[in-house]
Parts: sequence; structure tokens; C-alpha cells
Amino acid sequence: MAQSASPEIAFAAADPAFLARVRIDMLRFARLQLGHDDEAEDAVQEALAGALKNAANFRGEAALKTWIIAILKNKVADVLRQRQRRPTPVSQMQTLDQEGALPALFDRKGMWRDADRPARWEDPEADLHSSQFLAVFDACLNRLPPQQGRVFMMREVVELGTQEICAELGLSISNVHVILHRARLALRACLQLHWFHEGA
Amino acid sequence: MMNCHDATFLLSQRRERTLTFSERMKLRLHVGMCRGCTNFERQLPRLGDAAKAYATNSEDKDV
Repeated sequence: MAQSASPEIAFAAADPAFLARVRIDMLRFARLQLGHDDEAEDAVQEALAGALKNAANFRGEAALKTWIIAILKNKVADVLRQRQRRPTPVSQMQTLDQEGALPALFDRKGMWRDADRPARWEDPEADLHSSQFLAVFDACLNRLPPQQGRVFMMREVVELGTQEICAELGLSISNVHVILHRARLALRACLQLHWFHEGA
Repeated sequence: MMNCHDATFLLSQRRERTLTFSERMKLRLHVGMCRGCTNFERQLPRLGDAAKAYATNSEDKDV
């Protein structure tokens, strides 16, 4: 790995197991956003190298990891901004029935169907980082049409603006709004069903 | 009167853009009377938090 030589990283190098774990998370994140393995590898490598220069300033692995991921987010955002790849041809995209058919959660008048009306969630804050929750989230995310999941993560995790997402994927602003709406509706419904419902 | 589909669409867009005055008014009117959309509104930020937790958490699962 490229960062092994630098002297500043004595702190982080103390725990290779930690670094290895962080690296796996980083790769998963970068692949999800960038699609290409090579680009993801590069982004992770650069982010790690950059982050570890300042590693000595961080007490504790959690803080260091947060820092590393923040750097990676910036890297990924840079790559996405720079990429002038001509986006998915419109023909390849799933058709967006903009105004036509309503998502099945709503009835013909556009009101919630009884079974699909959002219920209150009991306080879920504490649970977000549990492995069970993450497994459910993973399943729900993977159930979305790939483009929906990707746009949702670009927006909520990489925190790209609508314009940037449009430029990257060649979508119109209203497409992005529709995609995000669909993604949120579907994710929310899935999480409610599989996590927050509690069989009640 | 706005329906739940349109209300959730505006609530979703509010995370990306500033709504117009008239959109905000219509939305308030609807959400004030609709429990489902009230819950949806509360849960939207949590979806974002969950996505962040997912992207940064240690699960030794691969992609």
C-alpha cells in the first residue's frame, strides 16, 4: 500500500487491522459512487494517503475514521465533478413516468393507501449503527432500481448538489427530483416494513 | 387541495431546493391535516442519516 513509507503515520500504522477495516468501508463507498473499481481504488488510495498525513492529530480510531471518510467524500466528489463521461444514454434509462402513473403507495387520488401510510417510528437514533439495521438498509437499498440508489447516495452521502448530479448522469433537474422522491418513498417503506414496524 | 403524492414530492424536494412561498403554504395546509405526511416529513432526515451510517460503518460485507 502506498502510504506505508511516510513517518507521520506512526500512529495509524500502529493498527493495521484498523486500517484494513477502514479500507474495506472506503472501497465499498467509493465503488458505490464511482462504479469503476480502478477509480474507486485510486480515490481510496489518495484519500488514505492524504488523511494519514494528519493522522497524528487524531486521538482515537473513531475520530480518525470520520476524518478519513470525510477526505474520501471530497475525493469522490472531485472525481465525479471532473468526469466528463457522457452519461447513460436516455434510451438506457428506465422511463420516468413523470406525471402519469403514481407509485403504488398512493391511490388514484394520490392519497396514501392505508397499508402504506407512514407510521410513527419509535426513536431509531440509537439503532442506526447496529449491524442488524445496516443489513436491513443494505437490503432495502439494493432493492431500489440501481439508478435510484445511486442518485440517493450521491445526494445524501456524497452531498452533491442537484446540478452536479445532473451533470454527472445527464439527467434533467426534474428527473433528479423525481428519482429522489421515488427512492425516498421506497426506502422509507422498506425500512418501515423491515425495521421499524416491530410487527405491531 | 394537494394530495399526499404531491406533498411528499415537495417534502422530498425541500432537501434539494428552497420551496416557493405558495408551495410552502400549500404544503403546510396539507401536512397539518395529514398524519401520514407528517410522519414522512419527520422521517426524511433519518433516511439521510441512515445512508451516512451505512456508507461509513464497519460491516465486513463487500459491495
